[in-house]
Amino acid sequence: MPAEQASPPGGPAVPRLRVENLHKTFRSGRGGGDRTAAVAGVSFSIAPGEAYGLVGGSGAGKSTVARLVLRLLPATQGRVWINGQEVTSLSPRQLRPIRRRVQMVAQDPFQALHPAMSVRELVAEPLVIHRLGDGAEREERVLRALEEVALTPATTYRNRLASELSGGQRQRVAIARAIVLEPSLLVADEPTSMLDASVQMEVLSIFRELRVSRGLSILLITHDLAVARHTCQRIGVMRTGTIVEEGPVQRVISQPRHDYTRALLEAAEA
Amino acid sequence: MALLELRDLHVSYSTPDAEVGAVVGVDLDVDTGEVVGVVGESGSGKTTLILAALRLVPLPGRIVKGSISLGGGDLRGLSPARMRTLRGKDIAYVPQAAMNSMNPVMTVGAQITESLDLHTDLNGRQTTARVAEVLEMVELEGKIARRYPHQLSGGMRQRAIIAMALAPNPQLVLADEPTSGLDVLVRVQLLRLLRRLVDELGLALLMVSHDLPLVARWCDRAVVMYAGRIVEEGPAPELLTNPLHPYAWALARSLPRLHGEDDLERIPGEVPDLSRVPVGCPFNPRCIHAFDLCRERAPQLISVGGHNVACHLHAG
Repeated sequence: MPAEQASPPGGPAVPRLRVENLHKTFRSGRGGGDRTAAVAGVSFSIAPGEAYGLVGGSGAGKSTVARLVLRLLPATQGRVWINGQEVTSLSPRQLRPIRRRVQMVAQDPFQALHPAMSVRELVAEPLVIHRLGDGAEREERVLRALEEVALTPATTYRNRLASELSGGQRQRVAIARAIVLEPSLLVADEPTSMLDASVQMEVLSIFRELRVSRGLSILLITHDLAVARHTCQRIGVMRTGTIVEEGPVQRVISQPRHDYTRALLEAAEA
Repeated sequence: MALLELRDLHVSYSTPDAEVGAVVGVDLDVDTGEVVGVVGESGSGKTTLILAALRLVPLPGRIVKGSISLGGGDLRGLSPARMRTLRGKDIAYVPQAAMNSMNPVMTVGAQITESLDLHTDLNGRQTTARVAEVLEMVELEGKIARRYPHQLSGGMRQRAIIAMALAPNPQLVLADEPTSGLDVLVRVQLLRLLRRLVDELGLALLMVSHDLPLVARWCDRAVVMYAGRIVEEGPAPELLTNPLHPYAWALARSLPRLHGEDDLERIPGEVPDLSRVPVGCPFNPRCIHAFDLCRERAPQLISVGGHNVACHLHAG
C-alpha cells in the first residue's frame, strides 16, 4: 500500500477524499451579472473502501461536486484533499500523479468511448498517457482489468470495437479504463442511468466487487435512492447546492430527517 | 371492442443483410379510460409499436402484416391524406424527449394554436379560449401561453407538450417515455396529472417505458416486450408482484429496492440484437429454466391465471 494511504498507528485512516466547504458559483447573463450558486458549502469525506453516494434531483449540484473533486472545474471557494494531500491549489503538472489515483466513470458509455477504437486500445490508453509499463505489461494489465469487469474471456473482447458493443458492455469497458490505473478513488456519475434494466445490476455488482476486493473508494452520483442503497454505505442528500442530510444509507432511508429526503423517498415509492 | 386494436401486427426493417422483425405478431387492446403500459428494454420494439399504430414507421421499416383499428375503423387501408387528418386529431402522439423538440422561437400559446388551427374549426376567439382551457387542464398558469420554451423548466415544458397534444380533443394518446429526463419529484407530479386526465376526460393512453416499477404503479394493464414480441400481459401491478414469464420475473428481481432484501438477481447476457434473435424462445439463452423445447419452438401467448404469457414452462 502506498505510504500516502497508510493510517497513523492507532488513528483513523486518512480519508481517500475530503471535501470542505466547497462552493461553485457560475456567472451568466450580460457581463456575467447573473450568479448561480450550483454548489454552496458542501463538506464530506470518504474512507478507504467506502462507497459514498450523493443523491438528489436534477440541478441539485451533484455533478458539479464530482467535477470539482476531479478538478475539471475550478472551485469558487473551499478545499479538496485526496489521500490526505490538498489538491485545490496544485498546478496541472503537480496534479498529474494525483489524477492517476482518481478516475471517473461517466453517465453515457456511448459518448465516453471512441466508437472506432478497439477495447484493447481504449483500456490501454490511460497507461499510455501516464507512461506506465511496456507493451507486454500493458497487455497484461488490460486483460486483468477486463477480467475484473467480467468481460470474459478477456481475449475475445480485446479486439472488438466500441461500436460493436452493447451499452452494458461499453460501460464495463469504461470501468476497466478507469481501474486499469489502479486508482484509490472512483467517481461515477449516474453510471447506470443510461443502461437497460437487465444489465444495471451487472454493473452495480462490479462496483461492489471492486470495493470489496480492491478496497476501492467510490463517489457515486445518483438520483436513485435504491441504487444508492445497493451500492453505498453512506449517502448525502443534496438539494440546491447543499447537503441537507447525511448518514448511513439504511438510516437515511428508514428514518429520514429532512423533508426533502422524505419527498424523494415518497416519489420513489409513489 | 376496444378503442385501439392491434391484431397480429408485424413490423420489419429491411437491411442489406436481413429482414429484421422489430414487432412480431403483437395483439394489443387499449380502451377508453385505460392506461396501458408497454415495458421493454432497448431494441424490444416498443417505440416501433407506437409508430406502427400511427403508421409512421420510418423507412426501411414497414408494416408487413396485421391490422390496426381505431374505434372499429381500419387504419391500415386509409389513404395517406386521411391518415394525416387523423394524426394529432384523433390520435395524439407525445414522442420521446418531446419537451426538447418544441419550437424555440414560438411561444407556447402559438404552438398550441398551431395544433388547433390544423385540427379544429375553431375561430380566433374560441382558439384563444381553448388554449387557456388546456393550459389550466395541465395545471399551468394562463400567462405561460406568452412564454417561450426556454423560459420554462423541464416539467413545465412537458406539461405544455401534453396541452398541445390534448388541445384538439383526441380519443387516444400514445406517449413514448413521457417522463424520461425529468427530475424524480417532477416525474411523480406528471404521472399524477396524466392519470387524472385519463380519468376525467375518458382518454385512452398507451404509454411506453423502460421503467417496470413506473408502469406497475401507474398503468392499469401492461405488456412486457422482449425482442419484438409480447412475452407477458396482465394487470400492471402484478408484473412486479407476480410476474410469470422468467424474463419479467428476473427483471422484477433485479431492480434495486429501497426496502427488504438486497440480494438481487443478475440476468446473464444481453438483450438480443434483433437481426440475430435466438431460435425458439428469444429469451432462452438468458433463461435459467430453459429446456430443449425452448431452443426449438417459439412459445405462443397463453392465458394463465389472469395473465397472458408466452413461455413453455406454463404450457400444459
